[in-house]
Amino acid sequence: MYKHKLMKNQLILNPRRLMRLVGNNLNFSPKSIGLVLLFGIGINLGAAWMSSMDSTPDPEFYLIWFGLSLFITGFLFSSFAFNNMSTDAGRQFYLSLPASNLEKVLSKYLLTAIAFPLLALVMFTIIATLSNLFFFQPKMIQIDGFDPFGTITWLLIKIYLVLHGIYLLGSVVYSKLAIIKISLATFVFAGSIAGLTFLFIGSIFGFDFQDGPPFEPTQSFKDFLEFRVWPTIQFLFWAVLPVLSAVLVFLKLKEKEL
Amino acid sequence: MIHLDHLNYHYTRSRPLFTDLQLYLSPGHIYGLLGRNGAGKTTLLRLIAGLLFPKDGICEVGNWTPSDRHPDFLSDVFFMPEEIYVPDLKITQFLRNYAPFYPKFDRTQFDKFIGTFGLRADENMRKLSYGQKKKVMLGFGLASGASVLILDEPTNGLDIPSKAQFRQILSESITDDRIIILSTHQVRDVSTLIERLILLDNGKILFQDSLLRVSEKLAFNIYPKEPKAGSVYYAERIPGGYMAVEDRAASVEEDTDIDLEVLFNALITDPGKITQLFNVQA
Repeated sequence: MYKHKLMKNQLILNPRRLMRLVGNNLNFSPKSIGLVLLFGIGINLGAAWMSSMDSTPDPEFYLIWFGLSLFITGFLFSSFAFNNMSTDAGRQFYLSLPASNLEKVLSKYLLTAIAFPLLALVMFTIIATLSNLFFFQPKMIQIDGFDPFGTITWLLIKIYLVLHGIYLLGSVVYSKLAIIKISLATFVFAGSIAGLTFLFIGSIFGFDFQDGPPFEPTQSFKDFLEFRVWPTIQFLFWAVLPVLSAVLVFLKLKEKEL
Repeated sequence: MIHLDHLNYHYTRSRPLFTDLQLYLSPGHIYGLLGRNGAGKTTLLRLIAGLLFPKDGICEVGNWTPSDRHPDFLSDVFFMPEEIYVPDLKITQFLRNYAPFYPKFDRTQFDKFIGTFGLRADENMRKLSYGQKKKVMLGFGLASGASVLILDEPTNGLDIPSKAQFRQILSESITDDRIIILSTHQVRDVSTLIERLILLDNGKILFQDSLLRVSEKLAFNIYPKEPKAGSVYYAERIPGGYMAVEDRAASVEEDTDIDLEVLFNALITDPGKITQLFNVQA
């Protein structure tokens, strides 16, 4: 009964309060947000200019730079989402703010999962237009344009949406250097899981890549990989990982004390 | 109403801070929470504000369980800690962004407080001095309409005129449905404000009673020489003599001003006799 009541209190959602939280998040550090934007535009324009010096630039130049910008800036932004809780006084202020736990978490997700990718798309469309106009077209260099609705663009955004939840979690858990700590933790965790999966599959099919004879996969092994392992990995990545990280962000914030 | 029943709290299991803590605070009063460094004052305030969760027992504020952090609870309890955080905003922006979270917020009252403290609404909060930041947050807390106001070391950083303004504002702000808790080491700053005293020592409530009862039971007299024991519970050296806490029934002077610092020292040194007098278990 008590647990039920506790959970109900955590799940209160008032849209007006939520939007106010979103607005306040943007208000927190307008200077730093502006600086990050300028930095992002500057870096990308600089990269485009450098690339225009090359007579045969990578035709997928924009996609590569979009991916890099989305991931690096996005993960940085996500890892700073709860940065106002990095000091005792800031944590006290934020935890005492009259809004539910759900509203506080959702307000961060709205910024990092919706506002940021949209902003990145708009920014990159502008950057690509400017770069084409000033750097590539004058030199008659042919380069693929940036398609904000392209398949790969959306695949990159989907990957960002899945992975940024881990950085949001790191922002709640760690007070300082969240991006470094969470990157290291994710790397170690993902590496361990991959290693264990490799050993597990090896033990099932009785092969040893290092010392055994050359490995020639049987049809049953190929089927196992294609119909069991790959769909499971996809399910874990696209469905379980984002939901799990969102739930953990919610629970970690709920349990947060001074 | 604030009700703590059999509350247990520890930072590390080997060193419990509160064990079976009992406390009941009723509305309409200003409570003074005193205690030595590390007695658990700030922890107690944080538990009441829902910023720490009890390990066991009951902690209720009105009909709310603070650890739920229900938005309605959070808007009805305002906690001003000793170290305060202010966002990088002007006072007016801060109001626009945060006052809507408090449904009972009174802008007119806030403007009055800010005016009394001599602050301008267009000032950036980050650029204010420590004392000025405290004044803004204090004004915000008072204007928030919160039923429970928790102030941890509120007079730290305030200049002498501001302390008097603080006392005046706070005494005007107490209403029948409001509880104000002041935790402080600067007892002289708030001695005229406090109606009920809570003395916390080693994680236990050593003494809790109204200052009206204290004045009925105890007298605070100055003696040129060290007074002999008997009706004197405690005496400490002051310039020009001794300040003694004694049984009022045996005191020569009938009406004496309460010296909270001396009372605090008396209770810490030997709580037995005085608490017995008040029929409170030590």
